[in-house]
Amino acid sequence: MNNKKENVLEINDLSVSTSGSKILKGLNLSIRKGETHAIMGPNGSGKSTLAKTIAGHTDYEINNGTIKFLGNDLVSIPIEERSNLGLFLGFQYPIEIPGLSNTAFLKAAINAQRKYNDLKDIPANEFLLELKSKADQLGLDQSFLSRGVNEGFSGGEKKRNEILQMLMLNPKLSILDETDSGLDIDSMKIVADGVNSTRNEETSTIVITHYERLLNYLEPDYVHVINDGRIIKTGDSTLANELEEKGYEWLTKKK
Amino acid sequence: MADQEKIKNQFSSENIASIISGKSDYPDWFDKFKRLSLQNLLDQNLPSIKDSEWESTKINSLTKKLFNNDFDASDSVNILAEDIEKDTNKITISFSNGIYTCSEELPSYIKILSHAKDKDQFRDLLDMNKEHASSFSPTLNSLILSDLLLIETSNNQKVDTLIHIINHTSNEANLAPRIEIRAATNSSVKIFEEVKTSNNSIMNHVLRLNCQKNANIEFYKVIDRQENSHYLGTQDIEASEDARIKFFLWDFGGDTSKTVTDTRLLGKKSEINYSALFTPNKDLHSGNQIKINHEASDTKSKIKVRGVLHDHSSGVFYGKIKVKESVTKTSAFMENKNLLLSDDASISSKPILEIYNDDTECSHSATSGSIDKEKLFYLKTRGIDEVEAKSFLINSFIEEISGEITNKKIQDIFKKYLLENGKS
Repeated sequence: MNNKKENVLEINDLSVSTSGSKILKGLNLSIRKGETHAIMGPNGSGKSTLAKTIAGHTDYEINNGTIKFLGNDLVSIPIEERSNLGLFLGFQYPIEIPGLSNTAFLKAAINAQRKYNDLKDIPANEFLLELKSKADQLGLDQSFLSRGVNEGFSGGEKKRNEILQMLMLNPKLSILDETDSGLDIDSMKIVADGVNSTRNEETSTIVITHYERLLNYLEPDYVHVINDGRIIKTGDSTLANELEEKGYEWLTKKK
Repeated sequence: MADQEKIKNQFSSENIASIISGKSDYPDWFDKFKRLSLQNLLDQNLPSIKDSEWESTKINSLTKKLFNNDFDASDSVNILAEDIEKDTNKITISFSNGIYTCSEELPSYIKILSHAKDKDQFRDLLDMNKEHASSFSPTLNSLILSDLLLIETSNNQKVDTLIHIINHTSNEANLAPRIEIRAATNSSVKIFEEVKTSNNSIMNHVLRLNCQKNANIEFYKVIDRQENSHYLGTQDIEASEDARIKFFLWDFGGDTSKTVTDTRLLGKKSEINYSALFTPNKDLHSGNQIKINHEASDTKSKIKVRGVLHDHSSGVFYGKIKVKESVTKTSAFMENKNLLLSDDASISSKPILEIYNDDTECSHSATSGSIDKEKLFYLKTRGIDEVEAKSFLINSFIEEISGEITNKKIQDIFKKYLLENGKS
């Protein structure tokens, strides 16, 4: 990889605990502009904790270490500001908010980002055209846009709705936490195409997954294996194939 | 001496009797009726928080107010007929100073009855209400009322025009509106009712809905925020075969505000859909009591009540569904959810099912809690700040009930109401 590229995310010696349990124990990770990284690992190894900590969930307490996002010390930045700076978290279990329409929610999110960047609210027509076009791209029926956020959506529809939000917000770094879980092959292809459509030299992606299949579509630059709160191995995309064949035990037992 | 006795002693003073007999225009039968009501009232126990239906209700200041008031509403501002908003799409009827008025000539199915002019009909309706002698608020209503509003459709009559009723009180007033709605066979009618009370006033309101065979009543009611004021609403609903009733209530709370709704599903396949919101703030109180009796087979009921409690406010939900032993194939759903927006806000919720026949589909649930942390986190991760995110979540919670208003005209009226009253 090109070493001259700027770091988007830089995590140093990060230790995090939740409900009194230490989950991350000195984790290091650097991601540069334009890169896609996959994070794999057994259940309970700390993958989702890492995602939620970066996004700012208050249940996760940082005991040690630093997280820098585009040069900003993320720890002191409120959750919403992290988003407005260009951070996106695709939830493993997207939240249902009945009574708040998907469209109103997305419009508020976009306008919050625009306000942060000293821009006027998005014109209604422009917003709707873009929303419809992105929904089409993801095979989401227009009726989803007027329904409550994720209300009564199937698992696959919820995940596609996460990608719709990502496409609309155009983040600089997306963290997709098990976006592939609960997706059938067709949906996975649509989601992967959606993610690939945003990839360019300026945007970076972290994909947290258990399965090689999504990575076959996304072709990450790096694959990391996380175990017991640390990254224990980093490789290229062939590492995912190896994990698919051998499982995690050959790595986790080494220690 | 017990508080009850103290209060009754105040109340049974000659002062009250003189007020009754002091109204020179009262005909004998009306004077007699009033005296009977007074006697009924004195024979009853006053509301007490020891009674399960009044548990957790803020009633101390209410009962003091009820019995200290001299019932003289002479300082009330009269709403003149010309003041009432003119709108060709609806009929607006205003109640103030104990009198109903309307800006236009009323259609034949709406009647404002006065005890003096409409003696027979007035007396018939009061006789019909005799059963209320057993309950505190309607008896008190009988004691104070002077006018009565009757909306009575004829068979097969579909009333498209919205009927808008506004009940006013002025400062220090003690008023008792009474409304009787009768939808005849195959008829339909839609009503929007507003309650506006003023400083240190009390309104003891009785509403009766009677929905005949295959008739359809939609009733929407808003009780405005009433700082230093009280509202007691008694609502009796009866449904005959195939009758459908939709009842929507939004109570913004008062020093004490309480609505008590008793529904009897008397005819086969009759149904009621009851949705209510209570949203008190500051140190206001709102109580919502709903009882539904399934007295015929194939009847359906749905109760959805949401409370949103700000600041030091308090709320009560008491819901009871009863299915009689002899009735089958009933369906009943009861849900109460409450959102507490402050550590100092409080809620008491009692959903009760009394089922005496197993051939029924029944469910009930009640949840209370603060704003969901995970929902808040989700919205914030999309760049929405805490204030806006909370506002979204409160509105989405309310929307689950206000979304039950599907009629466009009613939606517009609600929007207008909320805008005009700074509650949007």
